[in-house]
Amino acid sequence: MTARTLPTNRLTARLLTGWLLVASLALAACERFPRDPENSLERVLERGALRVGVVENPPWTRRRDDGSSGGVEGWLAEGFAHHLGVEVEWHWGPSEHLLRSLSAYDLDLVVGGFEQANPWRRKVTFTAPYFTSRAVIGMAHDRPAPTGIEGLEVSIRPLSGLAAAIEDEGGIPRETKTLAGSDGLVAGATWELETLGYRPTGLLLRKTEHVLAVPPGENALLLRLEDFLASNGESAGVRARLVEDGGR
Amino acid sequence: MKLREPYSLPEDKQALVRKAMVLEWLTIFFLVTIGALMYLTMGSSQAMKTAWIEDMLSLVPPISFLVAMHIRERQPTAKHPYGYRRAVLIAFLVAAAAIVVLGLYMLYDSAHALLTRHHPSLGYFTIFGQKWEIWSGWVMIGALVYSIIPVFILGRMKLPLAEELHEKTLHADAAMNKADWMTAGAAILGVLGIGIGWWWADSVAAALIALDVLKDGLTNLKSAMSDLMDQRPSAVNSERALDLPTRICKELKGLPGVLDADIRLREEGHVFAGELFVTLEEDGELPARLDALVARARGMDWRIHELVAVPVSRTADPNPD
Repeated sequence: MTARTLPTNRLTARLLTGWLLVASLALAACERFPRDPENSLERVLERGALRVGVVENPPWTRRRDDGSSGGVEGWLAEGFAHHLGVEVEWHWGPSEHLLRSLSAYDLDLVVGGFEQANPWRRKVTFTAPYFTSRAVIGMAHDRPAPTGIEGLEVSIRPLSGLAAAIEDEGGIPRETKTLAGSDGLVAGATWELETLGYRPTGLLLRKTEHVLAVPPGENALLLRLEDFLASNGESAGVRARLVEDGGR
Repeated sequence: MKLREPYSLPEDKQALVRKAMVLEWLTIFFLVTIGALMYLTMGSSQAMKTAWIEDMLSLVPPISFLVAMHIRERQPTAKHPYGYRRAVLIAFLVAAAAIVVLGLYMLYDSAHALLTRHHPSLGYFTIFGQKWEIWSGWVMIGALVYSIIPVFILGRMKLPLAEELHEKTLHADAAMNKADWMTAGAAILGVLGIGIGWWWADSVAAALIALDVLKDGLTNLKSAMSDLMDQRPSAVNSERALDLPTRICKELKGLPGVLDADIRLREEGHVFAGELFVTLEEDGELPARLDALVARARGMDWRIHELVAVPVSRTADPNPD
């Protein structure tokens, strides 16, 4: 940038200052900040109903006979609607379909055990993790905790996705239909192991951050949901729900 | 092969160089802290991302300047009898070309976000997995405000130094720093825009910043290219030719025994070098008289590094003025 361009710089400077003034006036004029570009939160309150897309994915969501959802995230969706003073309108479907509808603002919330690392994150908005699930090694309460799993057999449920992590640690993964009743080592989420009466160890295999999905860029709705999750997230409710749900 | 004798700055200019180097180190320090802060608060704002890239790119001129100051100390060698200064210029040229490409990419990226109607989402501020009860937009604005102040002050301090030292890299850097507050301002508007529900404000701000990066890149590219192409001595703050060659010719022509004098000078970064063509009345004591003429010319400006005097006959001059 040379001195010759300075006059245009000054002009830009004035324009920017003007904009800043207009923006701060607009800012002062609106009570709620940030606002939704597509007014999702306002429309939910006007409609009196929260349109929730649900992907069946127990224990996060669980289909009930009346079309509503149980499970932790069904419970969170109901709680959030209650927090806003509206009803829930349930829409069941496959995740691809529901997330696309969400990105087109045809839904207000989609639940279904989504994890933070998710290819849809460019198309829809995910909340900050409301719960961190830790998959660890566990064993029966009367057995001593191992210092490592080198050369030891570890029972896992099919499709748990933990086999590779166990092999990395030198263990031998063995798939069983159910983890219940094993007297050797088992691997699963801490809440899952607690439900089955095992003692979780500190040997961490995987950490998954659980999130809910809202329409892209609807920041007012997002913050309201975050507020709700902050008082019903990790510490309060979720873990207890999972343990209770798993016991069923 | 005869090596070029090393150039050394006048005492008062050396003190200024030391000051400029301190300012450049400070610039690098602040840019790195600003970059870290912006990276941590970036979120999904397009404007914030481009402002961050711009901040990182602003490191190129100060680093080039400091490297140049270091390499300049190197003596010419048998392999490189003219010295090493051009190595830095080539590096600066490549960096400028990279900035242009990055500017184009940033422009494409923002236009793409705008055309696909990307709605940026800004929730609560989260850092290292810890959530804070504050909208992340406010934190971003805080980081952007911090990014303006030190760089703006340093830019203003560097401008006069660049002119006194005839350092074009330093000047380009100072001018970029001074204009940086506008890109940060654009990013702040983008973030505020998201807050009042204008999803497009973010991408528009990002596109403006990308245009500024592109402009910076082209300015630096032009500066590096004309430096490598032996351009005539010109002012640091504009491309206006200096009147130095005319003044030297006039001075020398006024001396007894000199019939005509002409000069051809090129810029080599902060110094000038070239040839002096003189027509003398008679050839007695030629070497000593040529040396005296060169000394006289060099005494007129501290920036003249190497001047070679060539005696020419009056008819030999192909373009008399």
